[in-house]
Amino acid sequence: MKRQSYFDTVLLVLTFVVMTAAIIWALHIAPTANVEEGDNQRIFYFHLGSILPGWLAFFYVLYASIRYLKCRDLLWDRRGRAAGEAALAFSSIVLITGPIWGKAAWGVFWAWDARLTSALLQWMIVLGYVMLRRYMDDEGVRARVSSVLGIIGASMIPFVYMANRWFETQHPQPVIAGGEDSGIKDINMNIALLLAMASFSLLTFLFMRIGRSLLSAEARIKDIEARTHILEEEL
Amino acid sequence: MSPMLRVCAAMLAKDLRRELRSKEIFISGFLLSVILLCVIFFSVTASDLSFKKIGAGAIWICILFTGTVGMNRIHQSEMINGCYRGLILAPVEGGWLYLAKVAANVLLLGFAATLLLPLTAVAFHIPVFSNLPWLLASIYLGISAFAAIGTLVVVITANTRMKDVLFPMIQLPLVVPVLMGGVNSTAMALKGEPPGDWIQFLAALNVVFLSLGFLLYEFLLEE
Repeated sequence: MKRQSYFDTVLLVLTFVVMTAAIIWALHIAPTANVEEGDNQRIFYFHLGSILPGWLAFFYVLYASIRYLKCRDLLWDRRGRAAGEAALAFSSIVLITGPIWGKAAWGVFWAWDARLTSALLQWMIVLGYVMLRRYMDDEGVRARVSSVLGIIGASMIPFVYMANRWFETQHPQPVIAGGEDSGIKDINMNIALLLAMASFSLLTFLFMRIGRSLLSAEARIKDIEARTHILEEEL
Repeated sequence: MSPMLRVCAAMLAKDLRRELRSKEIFISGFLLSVILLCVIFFSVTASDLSFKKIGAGAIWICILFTGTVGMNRIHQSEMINGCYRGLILAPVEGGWLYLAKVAANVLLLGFAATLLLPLTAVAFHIPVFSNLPWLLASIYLGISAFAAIGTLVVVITANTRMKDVLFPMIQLPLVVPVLMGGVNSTAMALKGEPPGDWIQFLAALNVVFLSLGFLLYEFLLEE
């Protein structure tokens, strides 16, 4: 227990340091990409930075779901739930920061581009996973059933991306912008991007750990409450 | 016939016989499709789009909503009178029951879609007979992938407090790739082209989700 909290503290400090560095690099050191977009482009470091943790967390849901179905240990269910909520948070950040940047770069908040549609669908799938758990009372059934949904949802994500890529190539849209990955030349921009990705990944990891310990504590409290109730009845 | 296939066939026959007697899913589903076609007609007329271009979309919107309503109904009929316990007690692995359920859903939905095709052809002036084999392949492969996912999700949401709302909310985002594959391949078939890539995509979806369902259905049947 002590070792665990020591690890959490180290993780918290590391996240804080990397996040501060990422903010300094993204907002101050990295140059702006072009004159038209100006400082608006800087939101992009945090936008791209949250895509990776969103994916990682949802694929962790897949792993935790498989582990739960194999060994039926509720710890894996809690890990899956914490990861699902982290995935939802970061997918939401992607969907909020994207349109803000899109308005500045493209002139519209939303374009039905392959990447945007895929991100929206991924968000809806993750939301479905998180919502399902809220509407189930029995802990055992909830863990079993949501693990199955976690596996199906995570297996669908590659198909979502594949279908959207093909959809775009089948129906070329008017070119609105050169695309976000037209290549980053500046070294400081690369550093800012990598730092942002690293900091958000660390933050996801931290959220998942905190979420899991909160859920375990909640389960312990419920257990104690149930025992106290039995004792009171006996007395 | 092996015992597994026998139970599978019995399940399928039970679902089909039930539907033949009550006809409730077919009638409500088919009527819903006709109403949807009317709604699509009004929206398209107002937005000045040509009928031919939205033919594939119209067919798939009907399949999607009819399928969602139908699958929910089939599962609800399984929950009354302790039928679900009978399912759990069936002397085979859950995967075989899953295949029987998917087959029943595909047959019922496929039948409704086959009746829908001439209706869409008349209403939206689309040439359904020019490339019929590809058209049927696109529709049936799409329906099969749709049923493979829907059959699992309907059981997943059955234990929740808001199952009627939660089922479409969880299922529809999951079937969007099926919808994209189905619409594109149907549109290409209607244009008279072979829908190569999209048919392969639908086949891949079928393989992945039928296998996943076969493996995972067992976990959903526990009480």
